[in-house]
Order: sequence, then C-alpha cells, then structure tokens
Amino acid sequence: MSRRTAAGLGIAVAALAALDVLGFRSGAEHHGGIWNSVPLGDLALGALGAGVLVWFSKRILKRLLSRPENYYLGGGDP
Amino acid sequence: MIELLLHPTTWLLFGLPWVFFNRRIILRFPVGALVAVGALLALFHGIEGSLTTTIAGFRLTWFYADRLSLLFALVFAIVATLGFLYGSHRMRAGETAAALLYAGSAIATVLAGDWITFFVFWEAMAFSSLALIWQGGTAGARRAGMRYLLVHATGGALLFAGIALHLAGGGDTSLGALASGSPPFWLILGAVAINAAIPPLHAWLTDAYPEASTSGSVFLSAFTTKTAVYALLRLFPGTEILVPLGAAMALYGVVFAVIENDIRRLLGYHIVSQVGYMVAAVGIGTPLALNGAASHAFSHILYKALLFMGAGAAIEATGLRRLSDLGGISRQMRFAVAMYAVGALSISGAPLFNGFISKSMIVSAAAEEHLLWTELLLVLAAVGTFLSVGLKLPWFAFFGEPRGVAVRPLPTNLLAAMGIGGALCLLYGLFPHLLYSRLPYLATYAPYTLDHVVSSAQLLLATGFVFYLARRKLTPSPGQALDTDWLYRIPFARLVAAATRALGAAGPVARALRGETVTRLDAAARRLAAPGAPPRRRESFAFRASIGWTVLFAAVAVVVAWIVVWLRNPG
Repeated sequence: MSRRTAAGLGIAVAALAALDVLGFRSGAEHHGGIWNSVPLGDLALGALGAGVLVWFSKRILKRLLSRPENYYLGGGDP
Repeated sequence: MIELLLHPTTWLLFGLPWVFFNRRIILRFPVGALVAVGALLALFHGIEGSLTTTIAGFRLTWFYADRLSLLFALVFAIVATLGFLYGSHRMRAGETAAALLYAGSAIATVLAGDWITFFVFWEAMAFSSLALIWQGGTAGARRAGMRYLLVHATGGALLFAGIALHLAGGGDTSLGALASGSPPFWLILGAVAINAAIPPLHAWLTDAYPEASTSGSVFLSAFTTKTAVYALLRLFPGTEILVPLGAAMALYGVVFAVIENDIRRLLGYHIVSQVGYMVAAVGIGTPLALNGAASHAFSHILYKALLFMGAGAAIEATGLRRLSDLGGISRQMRFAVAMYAVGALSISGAPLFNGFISKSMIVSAAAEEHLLWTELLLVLAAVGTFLSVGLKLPWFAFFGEPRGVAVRPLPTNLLAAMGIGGALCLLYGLFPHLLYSRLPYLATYAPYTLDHVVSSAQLLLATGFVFYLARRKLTPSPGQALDTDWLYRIPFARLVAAATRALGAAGPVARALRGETVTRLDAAARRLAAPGAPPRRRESFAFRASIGWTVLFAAVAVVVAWIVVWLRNPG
C-alpha cells in the first residue's frame, strides 16, 4: 500500500471515528448488537465480515463445489 | 368494456398485434405504449378501488388497487419501459411479444383481487418468462428454459392445489392472508417460495437468467421474484419461519457471488440475496418491516435492472460474459461503467442511493425487534454485496488488467435507458419521501440520521480495505460452482430415467414419460428461439424423462386437488 493510500485511509477512519463519537453524544437511539454500541464497531464488523466471507468462499466453498465449465454437458442433464 | 382500458395490462397487450403485423415499427411502438402505461399508473396512483366481473358463477376481481398493489404495479411499469428502451435496438418480434406478455402478466398479478385471477396471471407470467428465456437463442438458453419449466410446473401445481383446497374449505375468494399452518397455507407458501427463489428452491434463477438475451435478463430480474415478494406481503405477513429463511438467503446469495465467474450469474445470486432481505422483513411483520420489504422491492427493481443493463452493456460491447475473460475496458465505455457504479452503490446501501433508504429500514426493523442474529446476518450480507457487486465485478470486468478485448460502441438507446435508471436510483436516494409517501403501512422512518450514515460508511470503508488486501485471492478463474440444481440435473434425472426404463410400457402415458411430448416442446422452443435453424440432436433420455415426470406430477397434483374440491362440494 502506498503512503498516499495509507494516509487517505487513516484520515477516513479518523473522520468516521469522530463522527461516530459525535453520533453517540447526540443521543441517537441504538438498537441491536454490540457493534452498534461502540465507536468504530461497524468498521471492525465490516473488516471481520469481509475477511471471513473471502476466506470461507474461496477456501471452503470453492474447493468443495468448483467444477469445470462443461461439467453438466456429459451427463443426463435436464 | 371501457373499464378494461383502466387496466395497464390491456395497454401492454395492445402492443402484441403491432409486434407481429407491423414489424418495421415494432421497436418503437412498445416503448411508447409502456411510457403511456407508466403515465397511466402514475395518474391512477392514489385512486384505490376495484373492478369485478362474474364469469361462470365466479366473481373475479381483475383490478384491485390499494397502496401495496399500486406500488408494485408502478415500478413494474417503470422498469418495463426502461427494458424496452434498453433493448429496442436488438429485440426481435418474438422477444418483444414475450416481454410484453411477461410485464403485462406481472402487473395483472399484483392487481388481481381474487385467487383465480391471481393464479391465471401467475401462470401466464411463468410461461411468458419461459418464452423470454428461450429467446436467448442458444442451446444453453433452451436447456435452462426446460429446467425452468420443470421447477415452475411444480410451483404452479402447488399453487393450484393450495388455492383449490382453500376454496373447497369454504375460504374467501378474495386474495388475503391465510390461516397459519393449514394445508393450503403450506402449499401456497411452497409455490411462492419457489418464485421468491428461497434456497434450496432458488437454483432455477441463477441457472436461467444468465442464459436469456441481454435485454431479456433486464426483464427477468424485475418481475418473478418481486411478484413473489408481493404475494408474501399480501398473504403471509408476520410468518415467523420467513425470518431465518430470509436472513440465511441474504447470506447464501452473497457467498456464492464471491466465487462466481459469470457476470450475470453473479448478479443472479444477488437477486437471491436481496430478496432475502425482503423475505426476512415480511417474516418480522411489523409495519416498519413490511414497509421495508415493499420499499426495498421498489428500490431493488430499479438498481438490479440497472446492474443487469451494465452487465449486458459489457457483453454487448465485447461478446464476453465471464470475469476471467474481461478486464481493462472501462475507458471505452465510461458512461455505462459510471451508471453501473450507481447501481452498485445502490445495492450496497451507500448513502445518497436508493438502496440505502430501503435496506436500512429492514435492518432497523430487525434491530427494533431485538432480532440480533437476523440483524448480524443482514449486515454481513450487505458487506458481501459491496465486496462482490461493488468491488469484485467492476474491478475485474471493467478495470483491472487489460486483456486486449475489442470493445464495440454501445447504442444510444441502451445508454439512455441506463442513464434514466441511474437517475431514478439517485432521485429516490436523495429524496426518500418520494418513495415513503407511497408506502402501504403506517410507520415512520428517517434514513439520514448520523448513526445510520456513519455506520454505513464504516461498513463500506472496511469492505473496501479488505478487498484491496485480498484482491488477488478474489481473481476469478474459469469453471462453475455446483448448486442445488445439481440434485435435479444429475441424481434425479438418472433416477427417473431408470424408473421410466423399468416401466417399459407402451401407450400415451409411457410415451409422455419417455419424454416424447417434451421432445416436441423442445422442438417448438428451438423454432421460437431460432426460426429456420436446422434440427439438432435429440436430448438425452434422462433429460426428456425427468421433464416428462415433472409434468405428470404437476398434472396429477392438479387432478387430485380438483377431486378433493369436488368431493367436498359435489354440487
């Protein structure tokens, strides 16, 4: 990752953290899980969720279910 | 008789004779007709009421307009107009006719006020969509269409049996919520679940939709699943089983989309995922959740049509449909890519786009009911949606490493349809009251609060960061992922082939089971899709036999249901 990209990402995270804290201080009503109750909780959930999805889809699902393009052409495919 | 002119489907059917007898202007007339339908519906919006006719002793309510049905009819008319504009440079007479019938049937289904009218147009929708798939004109489209027929014949039989039992049990002929847990309840729910593509009954969608033509896919993305969402809202609000089914469905579509290589199949998996939000919302059943389901259906129809238009634009420009073959074409089709991005941000629930104002309503409804796991799964599905539709697909199809693909210029009508679709996604995203003021249930919701916007921005930013780190791992490769259609494409096909051989009998039933009727139907499909084309080889025995058995099953289910009705009401 270039320094410019890293700096942009850092600024974005800092801005979101500030807005998040501001949101909590504004007294907005929060329902649901713990990720809604802590500042930057959604950021953590998003990163974790995206990481798990990539890992599960590519490492587990693809290995189990991937077949050649012409897999069905040879059988009694209805 | 003049009342028929009030029904928007009538206007669509007016287009049919023009399609067949005045071929030189077929490309213009349906567009004009549909604009008129859209305008008519917009004019009639807010005028609630019903129109009935008595036929053979049955009182049929063929036009029933309340806020729910008008909302769906309105967006159906809008997307049909866009679809015809999008495809007007390439749609042949047969495809135009199929699309007119399909759009007309879908609008008539949501405007039906009684069970019989509902069933008739529900089935008309199934057969016209089948014709539209066959208009893809390829061997893949023809075979996918036959599998589509197999699944929807089963769904139609379930619906017929459910309606027949409901009416035989003294049920009201008016369309309305059913008694929970009764046999008609489960039969009709099963039929609607097939059309809503609830896993494991979803594979017909990701199998057939990518095989239609580029314009056919735009129509297909809009009507069948959303008519099923309408049916769920009308018939099964608050059915608790739908909550876990919908949440699982939202995530199911996403994980398959992450590994998918075909761009339209990837988008098909996201229909499954997004309809999952709506199914879960219907199951939650509060006014906010039901409004969320209705508004998300409205938003979804617009942005999904736009996404299929974007995928179709890439296919039309390059002739390629797989991510592993595409790349580096964005500079030659900037406007189409920009409009695709609008659709991608909309489906990802980014603030300022129409998906945000409806998806966040469903997630908030789950949170308000303290459905923690449902909320978590829906949030994860949103993450996966941005990952695959917002990042993976555009990165590998439009940007990424150039592969020396030749790009043809795109026609103006195609770009105009995409521009209007993108503008509508932004319009409803920026001015949510335009949609909220039409919602059917009494609930208030404010999407643009600080916590909603910041929460959404955090999810999108985190997903973008993970994609940046893992983009090489997500590089698509040739191949396909097995899904639940494997069950009827391999073991079921072989089982029925073996059973049919074991019967070994002669006569019309045996001939039907051996698939000879299917062979004739298949030949008709070929003629429809490619007039004048030479006949091809006969399909495999298992192929024909499994279709034959399914049609037999459907026929038996209908006959049994009819006998039950007759036994209960012999007079």
